[in-house]
Amino acid sequence: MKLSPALLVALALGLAFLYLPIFLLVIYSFNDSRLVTVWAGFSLRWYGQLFQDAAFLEAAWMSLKVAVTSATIALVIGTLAAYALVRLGRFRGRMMMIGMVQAPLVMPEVITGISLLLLFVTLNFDRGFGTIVIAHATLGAAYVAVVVQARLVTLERDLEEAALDLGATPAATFRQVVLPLAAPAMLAGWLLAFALSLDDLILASFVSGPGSTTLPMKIYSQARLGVTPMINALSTIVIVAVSILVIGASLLAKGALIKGEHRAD
Amino acid sequence: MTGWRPGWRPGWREAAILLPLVWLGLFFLAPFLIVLKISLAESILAQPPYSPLLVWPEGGGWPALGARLDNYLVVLQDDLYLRSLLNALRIAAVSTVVMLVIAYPMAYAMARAPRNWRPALLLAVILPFWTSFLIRVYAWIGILKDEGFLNHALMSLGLIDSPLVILNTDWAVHIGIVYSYLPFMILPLYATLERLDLTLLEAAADLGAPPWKGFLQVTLPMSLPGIVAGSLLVFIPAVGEFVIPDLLGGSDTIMIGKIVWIEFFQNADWPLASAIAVTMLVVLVMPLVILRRGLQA
Amino acid sequence: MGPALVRLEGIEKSFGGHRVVDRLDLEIGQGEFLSLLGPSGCGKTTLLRMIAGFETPDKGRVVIDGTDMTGVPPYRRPVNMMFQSYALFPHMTVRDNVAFGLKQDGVDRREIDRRVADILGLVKMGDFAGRKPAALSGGQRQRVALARALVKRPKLLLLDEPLAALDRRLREHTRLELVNLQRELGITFVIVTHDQEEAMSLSSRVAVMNGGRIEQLGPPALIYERPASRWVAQFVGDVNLFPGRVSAAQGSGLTLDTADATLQAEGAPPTLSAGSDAWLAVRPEKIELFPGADRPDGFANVIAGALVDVGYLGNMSVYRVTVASGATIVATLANRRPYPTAGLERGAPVWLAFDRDSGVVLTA
Repeated sequence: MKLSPALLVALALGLAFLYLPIFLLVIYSFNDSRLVTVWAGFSLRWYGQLFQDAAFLEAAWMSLKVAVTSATIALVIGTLAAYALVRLGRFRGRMMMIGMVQAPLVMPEVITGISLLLLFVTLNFDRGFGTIVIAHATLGAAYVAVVVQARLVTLERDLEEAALDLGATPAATFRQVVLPLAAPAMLAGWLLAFALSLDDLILASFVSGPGSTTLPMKIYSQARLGVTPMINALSTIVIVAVSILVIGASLLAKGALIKGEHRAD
Repeated sequence: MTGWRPGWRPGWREAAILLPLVWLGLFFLAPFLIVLKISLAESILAQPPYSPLLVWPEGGGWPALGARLDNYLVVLQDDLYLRSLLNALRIAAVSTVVMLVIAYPMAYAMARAPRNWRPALLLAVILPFWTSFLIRVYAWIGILKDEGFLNHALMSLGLIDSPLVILNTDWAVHIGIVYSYLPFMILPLYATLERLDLTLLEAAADLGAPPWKGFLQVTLPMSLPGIVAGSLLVFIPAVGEFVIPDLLGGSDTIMIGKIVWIEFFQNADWPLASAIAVTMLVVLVMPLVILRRGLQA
Repeated sequence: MGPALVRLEGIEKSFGGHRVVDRLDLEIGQGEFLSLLGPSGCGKTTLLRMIAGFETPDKGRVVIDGTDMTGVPPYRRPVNMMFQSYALFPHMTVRDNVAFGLKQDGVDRREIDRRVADILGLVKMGDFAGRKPAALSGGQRQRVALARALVKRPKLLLLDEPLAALDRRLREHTRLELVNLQRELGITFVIVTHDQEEAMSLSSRVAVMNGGRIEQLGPPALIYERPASRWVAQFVGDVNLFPGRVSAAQGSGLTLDTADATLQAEGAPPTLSAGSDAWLAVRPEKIELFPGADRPDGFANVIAGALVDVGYLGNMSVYRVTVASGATIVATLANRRPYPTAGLERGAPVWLAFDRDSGVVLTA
């Protein structure tokens, strides 16, 4: 595999482009000055300010609760949908399920947001934690389904047949063979749905109610007023936390792969 | 097709199918029908702020259909909406093309990189995606504003005298979209290019084709599925973008997503907002469906 | 053959409008080793899967050990299968793989441990009990798959192309192991294969299938020496076919007029009378080759020809001879003397010779 210098430069430049804003955010979160143009020395004051802002902390907590709940619901729905589409052959409503599982991936969020809000109004649902969870779970399910489906497709049918042949009922087969083997993909799907929920602004704005402000909503209302170093500090925390999670997860995945590759011959 | 057979432990199969179907039907499909219904209503001062679909007459009898196409007429006739839709399409299209130009060499480089580099490269491309979308867009405010990082750097290097006005213009929106959606373009391209059989290129070279010809006639056409997938994955959501034009664009950068938001939240005209949403859906989804049918044929 | 363990009655199965198994009847006896042999697409795998319970016949019955099991799911049949891909659970150790079936049945844990240890010892995989399938070689994985299928002491063991994935050396070794195992355990084995050598060397009976039907059923020797039709004759091994017309029929012998010679044959079906069309099928190893101009003595059938090609295979040689009618006859001879093909040139005149009972007369 040859990698010409031109390609290498393109790759490096592209990666630099991707990381520059993040890098700048992190640097300036430690800037003692408010201004981006002046470096006034290293300071943690913005972090201090952040942790004393009750509104922000509340919003962060709300976002976390919503993310965990909606990701878990999304996992269940998405996994079932993926299994049904890959393994259960032709059934009534299959075409519809395919459409409904793929559509949220490309649909502009304002449309999904508005439609869900109108649904809740029609059904007279009180808007708040529950409605945001439903919205995020619905979107998350689509992503979980994609990831789990990709894994299930490579799962040989033989394995399930072997389990059935050896006396396991379909449910037992699912539990003992399919689930353990799909588990890494399911975890990836959960993490994806979690990240999506944590980061979502549009859906939350449409379907939230009084007292259920999420972190992105708070950041957004603040950001419209301009750049504040407090948001830089918050951003840095999020970036560092997510980076640790993601890098950690990928190292775990790599380790699991290596362990399974010892061969005798 | 294996899996369940009718008659085996009935119930599990049905449950597995029904749960997702019901959930998605209720929380994804039904809402669209409701949007459609409300787009046919009239905006009134009430809770909820739209007229009902069925009007029951005083003395009993069959209800009359309180549906009106007024909202659609407004959408189609008022210049604002058409302009903002075309604007959105234009900005999304330009951004998609720019993204393609940036992403393709990167994806190609990744596909040709030594095998043990690839997981790290993939991680490097995906990591920004995991960190908040909102935060990353916000970061560009600090970079692009008049007293921002870019202008500061350019001026201190002596390349310009007065700050470039980039923030609150269409330029900033383009940069924002390209930046935010770039990983979504790189990944499908990479997936397709990685699977490409390099022996085909070698065969072309063996038959006397120079490298650029090999690229144009072999690599490019074969990576078309990745190009299409990446472009669709990026173009459609970009058309409906709201956050980026709102934070980075100017008051004259009107994109359709922002219009829906304004009509809904600021003007409280739910029926009109619904009509715009439906129109948007038709404009974006119809070509997709036709394209799909065409591809399957 | 012992009493029938499996009875397939009037089995029909179609996929997407295409008839894959066509009104098939078959009885499988207790303790026998049966092969379903045929080209791909002949329906043999579908038939196997219907016995296992993965497919349900459109028409007909599957009766196992006296009970109608048509439509009964695989997890309720006293049948176990060894898959072509082995299908070992990658996330479980060898021990857990083999114990899986017993665990589903709720067998006592100590009993499970004992039986697993026993069967692993039988297939000589006891030392690998703690390993995962990824750490095993192909042959080792097959033994584990076998152990897993046998540990439940099923009434019937199905094997899908058991020797296909193995290299030559391992194939012979495994073949012997399978035969011994079957004899020792007394379990009925049914294998599916497209390889006639596999079928004939393993089984006590072979069912040759084509287009969803059984063309011939019988012990390997019968299939090979007395094929029921030209198709079977050509599918199982190589064969030379001499088309002709019967000129005289007496008892079990007849005379066949062919384009190259008048041939004498034995063992013809008694219904054949003079004037009918028939073929004489003669296997290459039954034909003797005599180079030179002198007509050989002592053979009922002698045909003149010219040598076209010689393939020297070390232990034997394959001779291709054109005869007067333009057909090419193939004869194989063991290389009993060193350098038997020395001096033979293309175009050299040779004689082909075989006896009355060397071939079989076919009407289909």
